[in-house]
Amino acid sequence: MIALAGLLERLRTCPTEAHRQRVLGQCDDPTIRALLAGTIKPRRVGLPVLRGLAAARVDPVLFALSQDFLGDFVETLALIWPARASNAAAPRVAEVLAGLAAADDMPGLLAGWLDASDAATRLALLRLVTGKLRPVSAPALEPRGPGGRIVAMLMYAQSVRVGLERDYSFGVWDAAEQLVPVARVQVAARDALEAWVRAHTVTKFGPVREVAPGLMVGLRFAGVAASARHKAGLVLVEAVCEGVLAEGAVGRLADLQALLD
Amino acid sequence: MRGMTHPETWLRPLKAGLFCEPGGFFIDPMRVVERAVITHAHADHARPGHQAVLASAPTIALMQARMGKAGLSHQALRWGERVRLGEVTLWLQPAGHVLGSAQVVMEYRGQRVVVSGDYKRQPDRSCEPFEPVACDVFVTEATFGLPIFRMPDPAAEIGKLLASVALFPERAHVVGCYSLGKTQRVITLLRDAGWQAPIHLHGALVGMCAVYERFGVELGPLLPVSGTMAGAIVLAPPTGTDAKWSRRLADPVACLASGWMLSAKRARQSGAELPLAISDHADWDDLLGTIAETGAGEVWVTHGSEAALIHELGRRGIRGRALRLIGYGEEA
Repeated sequence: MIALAGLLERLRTCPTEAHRQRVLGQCDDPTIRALLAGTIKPRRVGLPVLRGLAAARVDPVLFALSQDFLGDFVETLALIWPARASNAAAPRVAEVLAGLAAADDMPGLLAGWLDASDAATRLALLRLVTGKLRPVSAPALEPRGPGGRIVAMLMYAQSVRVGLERDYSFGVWDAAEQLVPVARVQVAARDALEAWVRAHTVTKFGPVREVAPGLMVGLRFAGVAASARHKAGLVLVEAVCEGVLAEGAVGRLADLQALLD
Repeated sequence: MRGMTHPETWLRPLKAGLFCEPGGFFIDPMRVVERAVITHAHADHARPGHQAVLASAPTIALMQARMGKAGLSHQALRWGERVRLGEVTLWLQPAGHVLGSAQVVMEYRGQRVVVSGDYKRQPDRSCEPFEPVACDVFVTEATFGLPIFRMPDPAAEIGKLLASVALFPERAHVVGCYSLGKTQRVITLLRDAGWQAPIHLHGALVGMCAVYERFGVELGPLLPVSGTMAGAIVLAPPTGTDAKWSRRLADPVACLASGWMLSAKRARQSGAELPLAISDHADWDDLLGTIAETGAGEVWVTHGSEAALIHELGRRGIRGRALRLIGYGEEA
């Protein structure tokens, strides 16, 4: 698992497919290669089991504050896990796969593995058992076409860390003149922007606020990448918010076709 | 603890910063004041323009290198050297954050308060190690005041950088790090890991390294950036890794040395190809361990993630209080 954890860390940020192949070339473990290729599918562990582990080991207030900060349950559990002293070595991948397939005491088995692992290895282990491994290890988005600047409309604001920063999703017009999100950008929280978001919230789902159209910004981006996860079918790569525009800018709002071109 | 001399009555968070009334001085004030005690030379703690500045000798030297002067007048204190300011006895003890970084120890009417400034407990041969001081009230930072922050061994993080240099010898490795503290820490870690070759510095990092060397921290061969830097290690300010000057570098690997890189999400947001979780702040375990060592019955938290720390202190029977001082940054 230690080797898998190291590989995942490095693969996650590889800029191009050629670089990924160089990193993968270091790995001569056929089980790990099959896992990353998706040809081995490990038995999954449900979130209730993981929530039970968290509740058994960690004060609920500390866990909640930590998850607020990271915004990701699995990563929070991996980093916060208070390991008990263990003489066991971190489990090997083959051992984990066999253990998962045969386990009758899943919480006990997982806790033992987590106790024997460092934080990066715990994260890899939890990604493996929750099925997230292949998105994690999927090829990086390859920017296609030149970067540029567009005008986009604020659609959603998601709190990342109270008082510090938020993720903002911006959209452009599609062919039916509906707004579709094309970029998610992190911006340090500013009082004026926060007040605007609060005043214009239409609905809330958990930490996400949907806002009424009205606030436009200039976005600079390094490229456009195809993305099946986005309704627009594409996403701006390395988008950076350059500033809020006056209301009159609505006529300059970009449309999707311009990005497809 | 309660009564006339409780530190709450004589050490107060004002808009300009933490003010010691019977001593007539501020600690790390955000605004220009008459008398300032400065814990360390990072820009958010050491601001220009104060009338009189009291700090450790390295902090004075680093402030002079950054801003021309440390204040209209300044006084350098040796570690543990006691001075009387108004009715308060004050001295400085090393905080282990960066070269010259100090904890401020104050005694007034039988109560002792220690203001930690920023601090860390991991070994770091580029600065003086933290020395715990027993006190009634410990005033701590909490930059990494969440139990998810437990820093890995910095040698292992530097090992990732060297492994990447070996895997991609045709590329330039550019490590983003703050000019004061992180740069010199990364250099000494590289030297300790056996990297003997010259380390190339962006111009913005040269001045602080020179002060470190003047104070006896050996950094080995340092050179300016030249050519494509293939196979070389270049240190640059965190914002400098994507700037114009780096365009001539050979397919640069953007690395970022910061405690925040412990979070995969933060690492992703930073855009760094190689995040390195190297921190100059106490992590969760070290915050709690240090507080226990001071024996303080009461802990005030200046900035950072105070909610979790204060909650945990409550579980341990220690009174926690959030000062919410505004203006201290995220350098980590």
